[in-house]
Amino acid sequence: MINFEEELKKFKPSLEIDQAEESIFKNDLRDVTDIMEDMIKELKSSDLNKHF
Amino acid sequence: MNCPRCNMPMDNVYICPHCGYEDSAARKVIFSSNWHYNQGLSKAKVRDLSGAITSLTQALKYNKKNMDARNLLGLIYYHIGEIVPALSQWVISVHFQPNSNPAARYIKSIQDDPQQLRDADRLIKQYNKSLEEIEEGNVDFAINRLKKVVNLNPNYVKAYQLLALLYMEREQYNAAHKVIMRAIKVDRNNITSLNYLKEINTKRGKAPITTEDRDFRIADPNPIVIQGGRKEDYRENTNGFSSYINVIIGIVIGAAALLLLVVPTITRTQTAKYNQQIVEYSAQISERNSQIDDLNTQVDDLTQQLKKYTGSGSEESSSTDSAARDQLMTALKSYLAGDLYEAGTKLAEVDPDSLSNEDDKDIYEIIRSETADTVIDSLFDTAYSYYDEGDYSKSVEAFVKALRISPSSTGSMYYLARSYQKLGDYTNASKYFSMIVNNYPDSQYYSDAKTYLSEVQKSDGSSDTSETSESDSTSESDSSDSTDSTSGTGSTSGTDSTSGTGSAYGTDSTSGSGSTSDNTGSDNSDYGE
Repeated sequence: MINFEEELKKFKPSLEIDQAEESIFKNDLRDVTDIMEDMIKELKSSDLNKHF
Repeated sequence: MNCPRCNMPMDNVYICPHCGYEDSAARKVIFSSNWHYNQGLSKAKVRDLSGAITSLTQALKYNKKNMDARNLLGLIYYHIGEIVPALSQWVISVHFQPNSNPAARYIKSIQDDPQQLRDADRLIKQYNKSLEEIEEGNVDFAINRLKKVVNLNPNYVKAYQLLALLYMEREQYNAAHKVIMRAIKVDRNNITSLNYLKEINTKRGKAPITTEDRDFRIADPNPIVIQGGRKEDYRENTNGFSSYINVIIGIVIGAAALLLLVVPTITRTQTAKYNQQIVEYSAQISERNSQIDDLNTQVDDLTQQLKKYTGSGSEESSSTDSAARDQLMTALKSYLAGDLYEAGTKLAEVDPDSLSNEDDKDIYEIIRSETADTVIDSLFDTAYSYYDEGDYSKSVEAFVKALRISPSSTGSMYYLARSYQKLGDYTNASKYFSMIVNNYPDSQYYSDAKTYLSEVQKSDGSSDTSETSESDSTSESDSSDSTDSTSGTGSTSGTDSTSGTGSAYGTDSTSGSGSTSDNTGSDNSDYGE
């Protein structure tokens, strides 16, 4: 059974043209490679800390 | 990502172009991204656009520089009416790969056709507006707006879904079914669309309706025009003769429609116009009739007033006439009784001009001629006594009576004129002085009357200045007194001394003998004609 009010809440306003620039800047561009690099950096920094 | 060996950048490759090192981690990432891209592409080809979006998004999570995945994701967004997300993906794609990137062509095609972009933006605004209207409770407006949106962009999946939801809320499940089926036709495996379809089918299953019955029994209050149909429903008529027949039939039907619809309309219009004119003319006639009634009323009132005035005038005239006649009758009685003095006295009260009857005038003249000698002395004495006392108003009345009995009495004329002069009535004074001057040149009053006439005429010309008149009147009084005194001494009575005693009425040459020496009564016996 579909609840009309609940279903209605799922419909959000579509982005208009003048909101395109904002949409581009808000886009999450992190991918797996970025995550791996962050992890490697963290590992390297932790190794250095242990070493010293 | 940089090469682990030489630390040189490795853009979207797993083998370093500088040192040839093969990065296994990068390889797995790129391969995973490409696998998801392939999944997305396969789903897009079978119009599973929601699944394609999911796969392509996953591909970009592995490798954000997978330009094919990003460009395809933009195309899918563009196809389902999501213009801004499509542009975002293409812009980012061009950012990562400025050269040899199809996304640049996509963007350029949109930039070259700004009208298309404006139309797409207008549809988005319409969709957002319908959401606001739903929140405000204006569901009917939202439905109409969404119908326009999906007619202008038949691939706008979100609009289809929202419209179907509204129909479901209104329990218009057939309309909702049609709408959601069109959404599913665009995006085959959209979860939301499939859920709505399931719900619609459930509802429709409760009241099972065959397909044929549904087409005829249920009228969709907000039908959506669905393009297409069975080819056998329409057949081109290629018969030329039939075309001519159809044209002729069309002309006949058009003429009939003209006669049945247009002509009665024109007739009605003209009839209404004429009726309006009739109403206006009727109003004008009513107004004119009202004016006529008013004028008739005024005529009646004026006629009534005229009758009233005429009646009162005649009554007044008749009353005056009646009074004069009564006095005449009284005088007649005295005359018949032989009392001439009383008859003359009564007759002097009668104004002969007020007698309208000729018989009355004859009676008046008979009595006057018979009683004149008897009463003239008495009337003159009475009048002169008023004059001598300075009561000129009464002396005027008395001398008028004396003149009625003896119209040619120059003495009465003279003292009547003097009385008028004393009263400042120069017009009447001039009248009686003129009568003496013009008609009785032999009268003893002639020279005095002539003198006073010139004075009176001067005074009458300058009567506007009362001071001057009063001064003149005073000097005249003095002059008159001296004249009277002169007359009383008998110095001027040389020609008048031959008349009989007390009966001087008759000729101008008569004068009272012996009385000329009386200063006050010197003229009492001088009644010269």
